[in-house]
Amino acid sequence: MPDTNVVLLQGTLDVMILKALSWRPLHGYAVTRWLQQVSDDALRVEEGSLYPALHRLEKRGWVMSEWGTSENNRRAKYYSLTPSGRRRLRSEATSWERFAGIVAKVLAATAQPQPR
Amino acid sequence: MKREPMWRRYVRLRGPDHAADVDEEVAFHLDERAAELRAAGLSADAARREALERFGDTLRYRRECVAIDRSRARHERALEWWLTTWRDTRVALRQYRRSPWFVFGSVTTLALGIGATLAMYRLVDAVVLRPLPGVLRPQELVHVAKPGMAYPSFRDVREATRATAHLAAYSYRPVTLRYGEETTRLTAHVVSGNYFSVLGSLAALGRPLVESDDAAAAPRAVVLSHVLWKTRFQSDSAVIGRVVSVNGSPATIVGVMAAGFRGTSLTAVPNLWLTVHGWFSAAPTYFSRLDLQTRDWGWLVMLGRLQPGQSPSNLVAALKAQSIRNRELFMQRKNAILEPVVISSVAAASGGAGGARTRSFLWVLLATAALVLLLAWVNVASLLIARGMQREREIGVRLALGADRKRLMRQLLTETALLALFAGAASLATAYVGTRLLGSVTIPGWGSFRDLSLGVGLGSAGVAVSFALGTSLLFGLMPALRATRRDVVAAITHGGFRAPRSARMRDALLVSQVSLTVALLIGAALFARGLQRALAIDPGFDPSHVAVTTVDLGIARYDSSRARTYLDGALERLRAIPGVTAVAWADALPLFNGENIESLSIIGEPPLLDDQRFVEIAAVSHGYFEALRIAPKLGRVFNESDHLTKAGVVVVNEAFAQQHGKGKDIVGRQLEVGGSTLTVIGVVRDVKYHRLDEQPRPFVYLPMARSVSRAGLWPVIALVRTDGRHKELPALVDATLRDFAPDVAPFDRQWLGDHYANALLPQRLSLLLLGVCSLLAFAIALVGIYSLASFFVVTHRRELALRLALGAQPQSVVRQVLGHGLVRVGIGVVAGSIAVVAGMRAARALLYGVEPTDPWALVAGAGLVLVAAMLAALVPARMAARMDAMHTLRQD
Repeated sequence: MPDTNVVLLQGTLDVMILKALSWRPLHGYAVTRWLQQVSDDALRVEEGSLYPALHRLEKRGWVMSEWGTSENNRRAKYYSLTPSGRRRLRSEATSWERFAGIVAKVLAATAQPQPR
Repeated sequence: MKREPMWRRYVRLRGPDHAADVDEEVAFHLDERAAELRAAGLSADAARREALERFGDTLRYRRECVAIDRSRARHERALEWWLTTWRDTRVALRQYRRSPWFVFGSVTTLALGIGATLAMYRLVDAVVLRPLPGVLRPQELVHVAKPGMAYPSFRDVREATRATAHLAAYSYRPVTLRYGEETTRLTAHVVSGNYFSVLGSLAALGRPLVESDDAAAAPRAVVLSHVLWKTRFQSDSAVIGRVVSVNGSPATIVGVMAAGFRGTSLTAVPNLWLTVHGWFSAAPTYFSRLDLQTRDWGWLVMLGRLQPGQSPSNLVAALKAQSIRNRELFMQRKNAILEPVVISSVAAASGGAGGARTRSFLWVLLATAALVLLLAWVNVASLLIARGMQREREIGVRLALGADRKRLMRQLLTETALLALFAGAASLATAYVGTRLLGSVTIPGWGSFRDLSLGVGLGSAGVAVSFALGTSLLFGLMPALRATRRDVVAAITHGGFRAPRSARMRDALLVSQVSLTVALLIGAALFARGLQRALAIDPGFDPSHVAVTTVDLGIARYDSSRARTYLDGALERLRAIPGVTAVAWADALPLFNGENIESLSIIGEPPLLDDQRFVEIAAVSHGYFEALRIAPKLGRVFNESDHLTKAGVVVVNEAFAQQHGKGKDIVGRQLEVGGSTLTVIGVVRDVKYHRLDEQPRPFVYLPMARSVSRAGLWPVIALVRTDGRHKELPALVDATLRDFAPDVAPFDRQWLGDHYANALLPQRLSLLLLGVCSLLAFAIALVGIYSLASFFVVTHRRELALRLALGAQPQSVVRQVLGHGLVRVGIGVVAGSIAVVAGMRAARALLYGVEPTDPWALVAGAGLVLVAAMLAALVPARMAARMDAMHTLRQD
């Protein structure tokens, strides 16, 4: 288990869930699996915390849910992106990239502060 | 096709069990995770533990999820409710746009009915029900309506009943107020020194009157009403301490009461307040024989504040005990113990006897308004029911096409609620206009409601809207409910017209409409006949072109010799006005209130019978008969020199001559009237003295010149007749009199003709009210009859068409339709006629001898309704007779 335990910023989980659902509807467990997979298990959050986030997204109208059947033939609740959820993902992703770019640029700076 | 918005899909997901869903979701997650771990080689137990471990606090997450889901469901439900309501409203508006006359009719009728009733209720509320402004805890106040108290008796009784109540006393007196150059006549409230402390009322400016003001040696103090302060003193706050002249004596202004304060009076707002001693020391000279300390002069009315724990009956007992212990406390007449009458509620306490009259008049007005409301209600009910029946078919179709019954009901509910909202708003507007109108009305002899703050409050708004809502819900939803419950197939195939219960209800409504209409029409006809008869009555005098005004020389503190000079000089000045043909003074006029009675005996005749021992009199100056054009019949009337003759002279009327002359000539006979011996010099025509429909009664005219000491110091009326050239004669007469003597304020100036017209005011008002109501009712009933007949035609169209197809004459179809409607109209006419004959007996006094069973009125009222009903029913009947029978039969 790697030590780099990342503390999730407020709202980050939401964007990642939206991203997970951007290909096709998934149930909660599949979202967890995907998150762990793409982050190389670096994200160690309680799996349960995903669910309030999903329900909140549903309440805000970005995600909708439907009962379906899982790969092994069990009833599972599938979440999918709504059009407004997709728009939200797009704008969130853009602002994340800009934010990350700025932080990266700052951290990569070589010029030291000029005395006045 | 428009894309279905996203929220609609959520809406359909309503009503799931959120907790179970979340549980299932969590369980699925745990199972999947455990399965995966097992596949990786863990034991079942270990896998399960690990899965739970990774999930975290299951209970917490579950709780959070359920809470989120529930709040989402709540939001969606609210959203859906608003959207549905909005859609229903739009549908309803579209419905109403298609039938504007239905909306107009029901909204206007409801608005008129509710608005009129509300306005009247506000008036009754302000006068009768609302607590008096500026009075502390009015529910503790009691009013001792009888007997009137002499001042010393009041002082004694007040001390003796102190344990039961704090008593104060008051009376109304006219006063003249002189400030600067202008003298005006006003109404003063003469009160005991503790009056304001018993009422718990404070002054807005300065102080109210207090106990120490009410003493013989105290300087005269006066408290102004807010209105007087505003109009006469321009709201000058430096007015406190200023000296004015009351009845010619100086008085210091000590306070101004708050706006709206009117003591315990009902409608009349006193202009100023004086203490008993303050007023008496400036009392008119006709009180000069009286002593404030006499116990024979019961002129004060008592009111009191009950001590804690005491009841009005305790006060009655205490007062009675006092009257038995000390008879003279209560007594003018020595042999009777008067029963004190205590009116407990302050609403009833206000206004005294005159108040009772005003109150009953107001209740009558309210009842009339309520009758209009009832009519409006019946009308709207039948409109709504008819509409409901019309729509049964439409509703049936919608149900058959799979419309949700609940949704349909909701739709209809929205429609009725919308109608009620319109009607409620319109009612409030009507009520607002109505209260403004009522506030501007001044009824001669009754007073004005201007000083009461009438307004349409929140409470009225609630009442108006809920009444409108109640009506429209009751009658709007009933048919809808029935329609939605009914057999769908029957509703479509028969057009929903097999509705016996609802039809009976409609019939009942029509019958009551017709009977109300007939009752109102006959009532109006009776009043019209009464008025016509009253107008045809010759009053015996000619009121046209005569101005009258009143002066009160006693209040100006004249003595008899000054009074005589004034009366003679004023007549000269009035006679000098160009165009004046006759001038006179009199202490009473025909058809004015009040009567003067004197004892009578005829010299040389045996004592008169009991009912003839007293006779009504008036003191008049020479010129009186000319001014009123009362025709002399025998002998002569007064001339200028009559007061010079040693023996007194009188003029009598024809009824007197007939009753006492016994066929012989009455002129030259001697009478004893009120103790003085007088010679009859002439006989004049009979005049209507009190009521237009009275029988001629004996009357004696005394010359005023001889009796100034008796009559001239009381208020006397100046009469001025012109050739008709002056339009503002009453004002001119007033100005002339003011110019002649600035210290005498003439009052109550008017054209005698106007006063004469006012004698018929109750009849005119009743006729107006009934006339308007009956026309309203008439229109409503016609609509009802028309729609009943059309309805009959529509429901029976198959049967009628079949008969026509089989060769029936069109006339027989017309007859059948008419018969159906007229039976119901006939029942209503009979019921209404019976009701009006019974009801109008109470109003007989206003009818001038027209009997409630007057055939003309009955025939006119009932006949009008019958004929109009026939015509109204004829339209659909003719249409039925002319229909294309085969086409109709094929239609269904």
